[in-house]
Amino acid sequence: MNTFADKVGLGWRADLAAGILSHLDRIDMLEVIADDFFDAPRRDIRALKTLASQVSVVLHGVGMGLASSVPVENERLEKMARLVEQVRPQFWSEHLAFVRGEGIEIGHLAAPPRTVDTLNGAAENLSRAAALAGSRPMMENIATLIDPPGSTLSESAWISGILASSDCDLLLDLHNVYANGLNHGYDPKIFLRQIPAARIKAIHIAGGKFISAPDGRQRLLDDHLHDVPDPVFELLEEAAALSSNSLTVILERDGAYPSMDCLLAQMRLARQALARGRARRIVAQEVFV
Amino acid sequence: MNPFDLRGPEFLLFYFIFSAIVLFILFYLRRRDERPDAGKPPLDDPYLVAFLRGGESEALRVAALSLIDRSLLTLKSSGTSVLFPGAAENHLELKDPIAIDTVKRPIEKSVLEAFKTARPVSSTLDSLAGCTDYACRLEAYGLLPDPEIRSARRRRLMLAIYVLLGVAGVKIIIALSRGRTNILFLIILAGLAAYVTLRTSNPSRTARGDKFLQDVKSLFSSLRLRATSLRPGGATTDLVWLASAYGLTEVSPILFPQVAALFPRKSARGSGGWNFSNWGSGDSSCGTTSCGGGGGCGGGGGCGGGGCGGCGS
Repeated sequence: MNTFADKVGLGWRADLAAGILSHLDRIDMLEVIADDFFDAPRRDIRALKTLASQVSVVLHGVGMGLASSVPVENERLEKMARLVEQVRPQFWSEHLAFVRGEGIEIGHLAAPPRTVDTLNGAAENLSRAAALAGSRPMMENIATLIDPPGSTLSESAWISGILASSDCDLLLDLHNVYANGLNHGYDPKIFLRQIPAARIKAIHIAGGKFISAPDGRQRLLDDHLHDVPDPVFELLEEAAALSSNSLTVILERDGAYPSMDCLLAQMRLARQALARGRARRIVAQEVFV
Repeated sequence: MNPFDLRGPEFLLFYFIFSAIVLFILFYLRRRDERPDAGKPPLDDPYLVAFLRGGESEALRVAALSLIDRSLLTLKSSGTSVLFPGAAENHLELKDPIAIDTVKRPIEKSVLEAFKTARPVSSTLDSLAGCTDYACRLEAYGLLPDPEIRSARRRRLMLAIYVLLGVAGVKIIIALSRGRTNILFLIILAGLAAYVTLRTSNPSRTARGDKFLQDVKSLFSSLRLRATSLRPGGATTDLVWLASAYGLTEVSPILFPQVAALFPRKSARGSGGWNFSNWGSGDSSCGTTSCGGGGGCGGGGGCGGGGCGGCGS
């Protein structure tokens, strides 16, 4: 019997508000971009709390730049702490990325060199984040079009190291895993086996598009503007088969919005993939017993 | 210092400030007392929001707009299907009777039932007053004033009026007894103070209702900005949420020409302000009216308890 309390939700985007609120019966969870509310007026925070009273909410940060040897800004941590206190989400999360350096904002999530230095820096930042916010964030792996120059560790070793030293759980972005696998020539399913399954607590699924790199090769860009491709659902099944945790799966869509029915259909496919993975896990356990 | 010894202009200033303080106290007491912890109002029903914002007439019109947009109702003028309604006698007619069984919300069923045959838009929608259970539900959630709140408001209003007119009356008696007859400005000011108190002391929503509506509007602020680029045809629920949260006036008449036929006549419009009927007799406003007029209505369940009669009961 499947005893996992897996949940499937959607990223809250203001443009999707009508569709989301009309289908709350089919959405277990909403993921809200925390940075949008850091400096929001009190009225908007109260509206978010009203939303959180209707459906489980998780907060997702995009601008802290925790995976860096540079200490994270206190002000951002305090804003997150305040928001966590006000909204009381199921959990909050951030990216294993850096977003600024020497005071210059990059404007997107960038992968730091995967070295022992950045691993230690990230662990330190995460300790401070946990102390200030009162809870540890889940950390999300990011997609990269090129392997970060200067890396001495593999992606899986680097992620595993940070999780181990910070005691944080993993928000596993499966489209990022899929994209990195294609862009850097490794098997995403093997990658899943190299990271600690016990740390996977939440999952992102999304879509992207292929672009031409300067060398003429095709690379997969994680733009969140397209439907979730089938291989990502296969990875979701794989993750569900590996993980012993109840999982929260969030469908991310940042624009070029399809109909709500289309998004709900992708969420349904995610539930089916989860169910298949759980069934495989149960069969495997029975065989083992 | 005895304020009644103040000279004319000084007393008028005192009375103005005194009236403002009375109004503020009424406002404060309303904000303090009208936040009952009455459960979480659902966020998934646009018509509940439309009712909260503009009353039943507004909710019925939003439902009709949505049904027209979804091609379940046809807008006609003089028996002809029209694209741009401008005629005085616009009619609505159900396109396919099967639609009544396919819609899930009772208010939509009621509207479809009412337009089984072609009927005038405004008068038919107005005749559906009392066909929904939203008033009961909104009262139960503490978003609209229930009999207890209305009664408390009435008591405070009476007290405030007595105090305002009483203070003015005492001053007038004192002035007259001292041989002064320049009391006209005070009479006007006292009348104004009483009128403003009367107008503002019984808003249609509770403080909690105001906050909930603000929250909903805040969640849909982006939708309002996209109002001129919504897709007609019922493909999304954007239209119904826009009209519910912000009103029919926010709907683009270019994209949705049918909206022009749905604007209520002035007398039928749900008022957010004061009127005598708002005070009622202290009874619950739910279940006190029945579905009348054309076509009847079905499916509007009662809210149980408290005598909340549903449509068709």
